[in-house]
Amino acid sequence: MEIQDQVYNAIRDSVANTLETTLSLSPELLQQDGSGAAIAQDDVIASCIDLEGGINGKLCVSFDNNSACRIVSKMLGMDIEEINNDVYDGVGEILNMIAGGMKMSLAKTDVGVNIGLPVKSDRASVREDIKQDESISINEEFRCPEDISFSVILKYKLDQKDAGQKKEPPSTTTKTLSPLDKLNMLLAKQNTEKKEDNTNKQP
Amino acid sequence: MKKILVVDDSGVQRKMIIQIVQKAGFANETLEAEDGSKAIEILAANFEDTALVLCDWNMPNMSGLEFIEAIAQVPAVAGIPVVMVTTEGTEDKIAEAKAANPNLAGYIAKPFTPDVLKATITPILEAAG
Repeated sequence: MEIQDQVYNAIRDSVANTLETTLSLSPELLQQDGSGAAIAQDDVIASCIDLEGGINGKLCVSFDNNSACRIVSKMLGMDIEEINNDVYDGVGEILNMIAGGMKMSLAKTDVGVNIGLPVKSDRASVREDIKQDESISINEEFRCPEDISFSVILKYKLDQKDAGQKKEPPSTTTKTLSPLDKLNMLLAKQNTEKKEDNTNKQP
Repeated sequence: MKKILVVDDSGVQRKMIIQIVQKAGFANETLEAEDGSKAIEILAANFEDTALVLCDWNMPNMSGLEFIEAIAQVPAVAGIPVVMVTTEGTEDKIAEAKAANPNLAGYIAKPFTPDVLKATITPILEAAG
């Protein structure tokens, strides 16, 4: 199977798995526009993740306001009527799970991909990104029950040289104190404070 | 008092996990951290009654892998069971996590259902007493 077909299948399988497992929602593919030129007019909540490795590019999801509120309401079991930080966060987490599922599917085909952290985006930025036409673009629109619809946009280039080779993502640790040193320091401080408390309590 | 620490950079994911944990009655108190660095601070202050850590992998500032690697090396906290809850579900990533923390008690790939989370952590909490 061509890599492009593998990528299409990986995305669709991951979208279905993410929504069915997390929210018991079955997404229906409404439209597939390979040119990547179209995003639904009302999409305003978007999140994007960088991809590196066998495919290099960006994976994005975008929701209209109402769909974003509805889906995050379902995630949290509460009614969210206006866009807030939870909505942006929830959309990012949905993208994170879709990207992770795509990564796992492609790993079985020897296409190694590393994924970054979701970054809040907007319709203008996503449109700008997918205008650059050296890459392959996929734009798929989905609809779920409960009036939730969204787009998944993938723009990528194949990296033949790196296909199948797994690169480590860049380290995100700030190099000040190592995790081990930080933990030991905090525990030692706790210990000292406890001893001082005990000393002060002695008659 | 039994506490469970949930570590994930997504506040929504933390809330979802905490809801499952609280509904199932697994803990008297739940603690949260948005990255490995914050998790170290919270664990250091609560290690004596923390029964379980549920930890994501990819987080800014300090990853879950770095966090679990650190706690595996400190006797005071090395015995606290850790379960990774992450999108990194490939075989090599699971092996990498086990190498970082040989005491890793479980591994849950996102997305997951509440039943999967409960089925994974129930025997771990029961074993801990």
